[in-house]
Amino acid sequence: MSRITPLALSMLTLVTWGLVLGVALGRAELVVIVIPLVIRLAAAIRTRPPHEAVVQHAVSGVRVLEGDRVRVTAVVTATGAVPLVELFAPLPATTHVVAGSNHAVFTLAADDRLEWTYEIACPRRGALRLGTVHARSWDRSGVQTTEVVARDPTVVRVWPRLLPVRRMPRPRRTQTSAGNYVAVTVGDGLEPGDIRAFVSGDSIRRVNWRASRRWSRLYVTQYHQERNADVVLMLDSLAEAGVSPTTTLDLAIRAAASLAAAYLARKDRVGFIEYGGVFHSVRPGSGHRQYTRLIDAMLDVNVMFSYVTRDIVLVPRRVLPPQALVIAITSLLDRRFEAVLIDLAGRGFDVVVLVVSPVPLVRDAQPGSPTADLASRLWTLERRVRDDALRRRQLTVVEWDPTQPLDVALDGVGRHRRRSAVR
Amino acid sequence: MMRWIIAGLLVIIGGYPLALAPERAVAIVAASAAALCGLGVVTQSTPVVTASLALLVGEHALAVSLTDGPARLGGAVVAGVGVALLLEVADFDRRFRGAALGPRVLTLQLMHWIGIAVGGAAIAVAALVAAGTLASIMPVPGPQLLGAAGALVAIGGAALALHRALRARAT
Repeated sequence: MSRITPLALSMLTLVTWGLVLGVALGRAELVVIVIPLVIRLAAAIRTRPPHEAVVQHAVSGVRVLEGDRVRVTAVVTATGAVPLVELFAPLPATTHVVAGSNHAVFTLAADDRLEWTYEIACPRRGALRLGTVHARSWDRSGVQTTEVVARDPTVVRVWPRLLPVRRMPRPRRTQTSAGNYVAVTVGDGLEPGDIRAFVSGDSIRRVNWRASRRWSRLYVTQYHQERNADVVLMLDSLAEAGVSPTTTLDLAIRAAASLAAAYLARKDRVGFIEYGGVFHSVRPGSGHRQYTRLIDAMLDVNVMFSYVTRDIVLVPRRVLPPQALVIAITSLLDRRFEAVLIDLAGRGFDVVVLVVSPVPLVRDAQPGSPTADLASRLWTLERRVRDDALRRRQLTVVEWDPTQPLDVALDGVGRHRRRSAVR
Repeated sequence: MMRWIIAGLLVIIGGYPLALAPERAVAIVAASAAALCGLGVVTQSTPVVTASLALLVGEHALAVSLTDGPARLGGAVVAGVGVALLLEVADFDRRFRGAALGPRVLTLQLMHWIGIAVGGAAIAVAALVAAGTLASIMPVPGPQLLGAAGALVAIGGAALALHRALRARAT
């Protein structure tokens, strides 16, 4: 759409002012002063509006990791010469330009083709909606302009960067499908278990010859079945602390994505529940497609303040299977999530609580002072008391200090679960 | 760079009337206009820059009325070209501040402004020659009346043309 800009009105105002002064004072100089403005105004109004620019938009990748860069290229053409073509591509708030500029001005000759490139950094996970380019063609004076908005919606998914995970919490209960866990039940498998006396129908290949020779009677070796497990990652999105891109929620999502990748690599079925007052979920599944589904669900997770508190009983069994290991990743900043955890434990779920500590994140975001140090220590103590209260309710609670690797915290899960098993 | 051009033009347009009539009142108006122009450039407001230019035209009017000598049309042509350029340069700066300028954009724009300066001055001189010829063949107060009528026609015509152009683009 073409239009006359407010600059024309400014010119007309000055012309009027000069002529009024010139006539009122009877001085020819004041009339002469406005002659160049009259010429500019007349020329600008008489000339045709500048041609519309046509913009085609492309990005270097639609799936990147946190911290990666995306190169955006726009090809600009026009049916005729455009003295000045101004291009502006609004960017999502979580990104910033690292090379080039998302606001540029060019001169476009007739039948010319212009390639405009800039690079953006994506420090935080999320689904970035790119592809809108405002192209404004100006005449040289800036009196006339033609504007078009080119929309070529492109969603760039910035996946959370994975943290190294070697020791994941081991599920207490397994499912019926084949996997990597040695189940208590015996059957087909590779891990030898007990031996028993041979009965009719046993495979001759399972005969334990050493035991049979010793006891002068046929014995067979039983094998433990190798089964998979259901793991449900439950994410607390009720509150967050810290500065983007390292808030407790960002770190919790990185941990959740890393755990999902690790469990899926072990052939487990992994599901996802986001709890932000209401539940958003992904049913447990396995394979690479499930990983994509889980990560896509995690990208849109943000803290949305709500007074709503849904009961865990509303989550269907197909999303939260009774035998599943539930790994709750939370900053424990909102009491409502504690109630959900207690409810889950009360219903007999195998729950592991991974607490992302907000204390170092908030401490780093503030200028150092003795008061801040004291407040951090008091807060840490208060949080420790709360963790202990949850542990007394038979929940496995480990605190993850984000300045340490995730594996350090997960190692603590194994120790705690072995200790509780001994009891 | 744009700000240096604006500052240079401001010195020329504001300094010329001060040189004509080095009076306190003229200096105050020039200083006010410069301050207002600076404010307009910093806040990226074309209306404020326009107001400062109106003050500069007013300063010129004050200076010529205080000197009360013969008409200095050469200086007026320079001031007129300066006003037109300053308005365009300030608006260019406002529109494209922070934007990356492509190759040749600035060069071509500077050439355009030089063209405005030369063309504007040439047309103004031609108009002066025509007016001088007209004044010599017409009795006084014919030129004054003709000038007033011409001014009214110019304002009305420009306003009408602008109105029609705006309406045509709106539809």
